[in-house]
Amino acid sequence: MELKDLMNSPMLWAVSSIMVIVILAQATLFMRQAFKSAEKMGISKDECITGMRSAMITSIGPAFAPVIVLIALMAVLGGPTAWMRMNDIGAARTELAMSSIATNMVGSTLEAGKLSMIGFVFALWGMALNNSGWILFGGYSAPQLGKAVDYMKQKFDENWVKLVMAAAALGLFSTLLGNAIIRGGNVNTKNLFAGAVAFVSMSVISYFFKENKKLQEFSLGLAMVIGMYVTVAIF
Amino acid sequence: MSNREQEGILEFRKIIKTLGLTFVTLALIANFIPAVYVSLTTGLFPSGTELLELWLAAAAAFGVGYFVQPISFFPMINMSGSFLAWICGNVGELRVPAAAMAQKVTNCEPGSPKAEIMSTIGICSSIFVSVTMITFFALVGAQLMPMMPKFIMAGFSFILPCVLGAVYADLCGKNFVLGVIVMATSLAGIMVYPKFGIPGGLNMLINILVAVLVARLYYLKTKTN
Repeated sequence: MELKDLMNSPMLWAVSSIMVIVILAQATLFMRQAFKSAEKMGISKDECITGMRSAMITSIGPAFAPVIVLIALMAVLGGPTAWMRMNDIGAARTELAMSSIATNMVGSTLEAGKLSMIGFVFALWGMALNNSGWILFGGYSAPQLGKAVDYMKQKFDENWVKLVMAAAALGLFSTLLGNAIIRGGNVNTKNLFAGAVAFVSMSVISYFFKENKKLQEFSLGLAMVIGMYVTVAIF
Repeated sequence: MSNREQEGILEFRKIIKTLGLTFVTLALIANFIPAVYVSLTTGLFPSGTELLELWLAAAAAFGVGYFVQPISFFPMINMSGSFLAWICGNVGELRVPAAAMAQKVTNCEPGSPKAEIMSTIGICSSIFVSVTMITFFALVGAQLMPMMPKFIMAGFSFILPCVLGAVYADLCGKNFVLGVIVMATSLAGIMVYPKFGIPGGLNMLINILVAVLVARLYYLKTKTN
């Protein structure tokens, strides 16, 4: 079989779909359990649905990021692999970097049309090995990390623990944002501007339209779109 | 916290733990199936040494992330969110924003049992949306994308800074001053650490530690005043 036939073969779609099915099944069961437990805890179903709706609206915008890489990755690694890898763990950059490290190892390259069969095999193994790092550690350590957080809450002043968690989140997201703005020691002005506009928009919506519940559900998505298109309009 | 809430969340955690560990194992297996299938059909298997080399290359490039990221994100997504997020990815730019918004519109107290339930609902919702969109575009998107107006496409390159900027504003909320200080220390860190030969993978960890230190000073200062 030719590489480009194999890459897009129905059987490869089938075996790649197993991961996506696992992901959907897990999300369905977790969601069902959350609704059940919410009822027992006295949280109304309406509230759960409000939360769900807001999360769904918020997700539409950011989900375009993997979609765009998907289109690029499809041209190189074929539909099924790109589809599976964009649905599972491993940021777009990570998957691209890993598959290029793996293909280079066997003297092949990721450029469309130049990838060899052995290059493709290595790219698949490379991505699988890399992703398993996160699944293993992130997944199996979750119960232990939960215990550690509970321990902290019991041992230390509650306000201090809250502040530590808030600070850790700020440190984390300022780094993620910083990495999007600073590339290789240089500030990317457009990205800096885009991030700043989104930051201001979100602050304004959260602060001045606090009472408008409907608007709050859209706030993050809206702030993001404002940031994106004000930047496009100006630069 | 009421008894009812306490009992409810303990039961929730117990069930989620069993479900979560099962799905993590399933995902770990599913993760390798396409590679095994392609090796079987082509007869091309990487040797043991080559697999080790591949794994070492992966660990060298991303190994720090395997540990730093799950710990860093944990307080925001809890155990149930960790089970979901470390299988389906896009944690910072997609799962956390969805969880944060689900909590925000339902007025959750941070760290409360209700917040834990809402973040689970938020993350599951974001999974349904992203899987649907990625699947749709994988099937028909390649034909559809080039037909999008140029202006719309141009905006897509700013998705990342914008979603992170908006999330940061939301996180700043009650601790605005702290948020601004941490932003400054983190940006300075990203510029400066490489000059000391600190690998990029450690930036996140150091910035978080600095942020906690800043918070400690901030806490002591506001406490005494």
